[in-house]
Amino acid sequence: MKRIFAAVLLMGLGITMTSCSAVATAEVVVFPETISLQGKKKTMQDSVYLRYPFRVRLKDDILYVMDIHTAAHHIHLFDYKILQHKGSLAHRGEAPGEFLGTENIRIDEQGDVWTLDANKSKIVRLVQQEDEQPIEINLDKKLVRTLDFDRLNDSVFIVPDYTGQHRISFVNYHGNILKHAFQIPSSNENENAIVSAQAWRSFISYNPHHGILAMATQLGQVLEIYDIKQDTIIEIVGQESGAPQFTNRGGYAVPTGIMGYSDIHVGHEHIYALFWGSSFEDIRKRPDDHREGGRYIHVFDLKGNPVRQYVLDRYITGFHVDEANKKFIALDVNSNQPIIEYAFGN
Amino acid sequence: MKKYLTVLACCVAIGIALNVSLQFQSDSNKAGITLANNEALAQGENSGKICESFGSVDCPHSTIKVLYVQ
Repeated sequence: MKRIFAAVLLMGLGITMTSCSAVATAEVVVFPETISLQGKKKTMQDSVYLRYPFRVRLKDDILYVMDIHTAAHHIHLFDYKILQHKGSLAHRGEAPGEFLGTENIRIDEQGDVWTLDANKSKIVRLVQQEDEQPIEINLDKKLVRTLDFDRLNDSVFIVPDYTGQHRISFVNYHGNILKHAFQIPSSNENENAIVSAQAWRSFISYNPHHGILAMATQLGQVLEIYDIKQDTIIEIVGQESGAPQFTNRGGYAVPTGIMGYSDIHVGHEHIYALFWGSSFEDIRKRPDDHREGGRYIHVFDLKGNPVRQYVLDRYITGFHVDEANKKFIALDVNSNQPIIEYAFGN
Repeated sequence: MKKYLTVLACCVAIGIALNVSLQFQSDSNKAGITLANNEALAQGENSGKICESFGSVDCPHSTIKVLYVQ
C-alpha cells in the first residue's frame, strides 16, 4: 500500500516538474499592498463594433476609444454619461487623409484630438468639424519608425527612439528632430541597435505639470522614469530582472519572454501601468486559451517606489485614469461591451 | 534500498514521459487549430518569420499588429 502511494506521489511529482513553463510571475517588483477591483460594465447605446479597442481617453465627458484592428474608423467618440456614439475619426485606408493604423490618442487643452500613424510616419491633428483642416506632421525619416508619442508642450512632441541610438527624441511641429535624450537601459551592449530598440519598444506618458516622463516596456517588465525638465534619470525599475527577452532573428527582435506593459499614465502623484505578464511560450503553445490583456495595474510614486497593485476582474488592453474621481475607465477587449469602469477610491 | 531507488526512478521517469507525451499531443492539436483559424498570417519574403493572428505586438514586416512573432 505504501509503495503504491509512493509511486502515485512520485508520478505526480514528475508531471508537476515538467508542467512548469516559464510564466513571468517572478517578483520583479514587490508591492506593499494588493487590492482587487470589480469592474462595472458600461453598456453602449449604439452598435459600434470595436474589434480591438486599445486606447481610451476621457475629456469633458467625451470618451475617445481607439480601435487598432478596425474595418472603418480607428477612433470613436461617445457621450460618456450615456455612452451614445457621437462620431468617428481616422478612417482606415491608404488614401491621403486616411490611416494605415493608429498608435495612441492625445487630446490637447483645446480639445483637439491627435493621433500617430506609425506606418505613414505622421502625427495628425484630426478634424472634428467640417470647417476644420487637419494638421499632418510628416516625421523626420531619421526616426525610422515612431510607435508612440506624447505632447511636451504646444509646439513639441516626445517620441520613443527606434534607432537604438537614444531612448527618446523631441520633434517639432514640422516633424524635425530637435534633440535626443537618454539611452536604452540594456546591459547588452553588443546587441544590434535597431534590434535592441525593437525589443525595448515602450509606451510613453508625459505629465507637463511636473515634467515627468515614464516609459513601460511592452515585451518586458521595465519602467523608466525621467525628469524631462531637469534632463535626468529618476529611476529604472526592473532594469535587470525585467529586461525584455528576445532573439535576434535576421535583424529582427523576436520576443521570447513576456507580454509586459501595454499602457501607462503619469498622474499628478502616481504612475499607473497596465501589466499583462503572459509568456509568449504559453501564447504560442495555447493561443486559444490565451486572453488578450492584463489584469494588473501597477502603481508607483513619481520616484519609482512601488505603491500598490490593483488586480482586476477582467483582462484589459488600455485604460484611462480619472484621478479626481478615483476611477479607471478600462477596455475589455474580450467583451462585446468593452467599456468597464473601476472605482479605486477608498 | 537499491530496489526501492529503482522503483522510485522508474516512477519519476514514467511521470515525465507521460507529461511530455500529453504536452506534445496538445501542441500538435493547437498548432493545427491555430493555422486553421489564422486570421492574419503575415510572412516576410524569404525570412521564415511569421506573425500570427491579431494582437498588439508589432510585426517586423507588416503593418498589422499581431498576437506574437515567431
